[in-house]
Parts: sequence; structure tokens; C-alpha cells
Amino acid sequence: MPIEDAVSPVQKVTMDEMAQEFADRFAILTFGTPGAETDDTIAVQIQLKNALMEDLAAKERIRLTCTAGAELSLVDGGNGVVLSGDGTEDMILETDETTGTFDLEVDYSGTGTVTVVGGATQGSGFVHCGESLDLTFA
Amino acid sequence: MTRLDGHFLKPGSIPADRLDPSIPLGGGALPDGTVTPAKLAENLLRKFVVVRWGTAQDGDPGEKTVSLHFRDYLDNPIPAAHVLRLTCDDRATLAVGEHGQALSGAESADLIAQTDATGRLDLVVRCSETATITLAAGATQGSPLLDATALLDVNFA
Repeated sequence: MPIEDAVSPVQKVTMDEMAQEFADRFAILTFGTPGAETDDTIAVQIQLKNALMEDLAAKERIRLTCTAGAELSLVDGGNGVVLSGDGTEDMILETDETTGTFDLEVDYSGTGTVTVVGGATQGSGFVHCGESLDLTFA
Repeated sequence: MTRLDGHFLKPGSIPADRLDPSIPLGGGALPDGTVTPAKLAENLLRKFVVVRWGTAQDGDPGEKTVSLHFRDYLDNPIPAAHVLRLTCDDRATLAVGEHGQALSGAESADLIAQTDATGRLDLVVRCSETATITLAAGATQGSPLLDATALLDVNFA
């Protein structure tokens, strides 16, 4: 048996080697597939993932902003809580603790693309919001 | 350290055929799901800064003081001066007490402050109403990686 088989090279710890509890400390904001436009409104679900890109059931606070003129809100009866900015283009939300989801509704009376982007805010943990969402309103 | 076929081996390391059989071989990879915060080197662990609130204490009438500390993921103190943003609702104001310093927004509901070198910040919260004031921390310009999930409710009776 060659000795190098037993030696861990420097800089080789991977995400998969992270313990579940550790991986769950790092949240990643992802968007689901948007629904069809209905009455100038498109619904899309936000889902938190952990560092292993598994669904993460956690309460996380996120600031969402979007293209001027559009309005962000929570789907009636949907998962999550709006903390501030309901019905505006700058909203702070809290994901549902048991699912890590937030049911987002975007309203836009014009035509074209509305871009939605998330970010960390007051009360956030380690949350990565590198993914934005483009919604096309016809 | 000695370079050995693309890997690094500390002098005096145990040869592979003398390792405990439970130690996996094959490139030295760790089994999936085994890396915990306890296995991180201290200087890496301290990159992940967690905000911890103390207990609010009574001060002058309409005034409470509360300390904030930094901890790592093993709940060890992080003795470092870091910048963070603190906010509350407009019924209250925030100022810095004995430890730490205000960088902007002193005596307002939106304060940017720096902990002292021990990682401690003393906040003075003032509110003239009967109310529960929720304090939130967060990262701002100059902040480290900050886990500020914990909030604090301060009750003014």
C-alpha cells in the first residue's frame, strides 16, 4: 500500500465532507420555477438550501429588491412572513422555519423583465444570495 | 514537510500500513459528513463570527444597557474589534456605553459601531414609552462574515 494513499493533501476538504449540522449553518437562497402570469402577477417560491444544496428548513431573514415599478409580497396564505416593505420593490422577509420557504408574489403592470435579487440584512445569518431571478411580464 | 508524489507528509508521520484500520485510505479523503466546526483550525473558525446578546440591565429611567459579544461556532469568545450595524424601531435610540465605540448614528435607531478589542460592545437603549424594543444586528461596510440571526427584545415598562 503506498503511503500517499493515507495522506490527506493540503486544501482538500470538500463540501461533502461537512457534517450536516455544520452545512446547515450556511444558507443559500434559491428560486423555484415561476408560475404563469395571472392578472399582472407571477408567483415563485423561494427555497433555502444548505451548503450541500439540500433543502434547508430554517428561518432566515432576507432583503429582496426588484426592478422599479414592480411590487413584492407574500402569496395569500403562503409560507413565510413579511417583516417590512410589503407591496413595494424593497421587502424584508422571513422564511418559514419548518420548510425554509417563502411564497413570493411579484406584481407588475407593465411589460418586460423584472429582476428580483436577495441579500443579507439585519438579523441575517450566513446567507448566500448570488442567484437572481428574471421574470418576464407580457 | 516533505513533498511525496504530490502530497505533503509531516516528518514522523505513521506509515499507511500502521494506521488504524478505521482510518479510510484512498487519497486520504475524509468520509462525507465528518467535518464539524470542532475540526477547523482556530484561525479559520474565527472567520465565522456569531453575534451573542447578553441580558438587558436596568439603567436610568427609560434606559437599559445590554452587552453584545462575538462567539465562534464552538461558543468560544472571539476577542476582536469588528464593525456591525445595529437597528431598532424608531421609538428607541441606541448609543454605545463603556465598551466599544460608535462610528455613526449615535443616539438614533440605526447605529454603526465597533466592538472593543475583546469583542464586546455595550449598548445603551433609551425609550420613553412602554414598549418592547427589538434589537437587530447585521453586517455593514467593514464587517466580517457575521451570523446575526439572534435578536433581542428589550422591555420598557
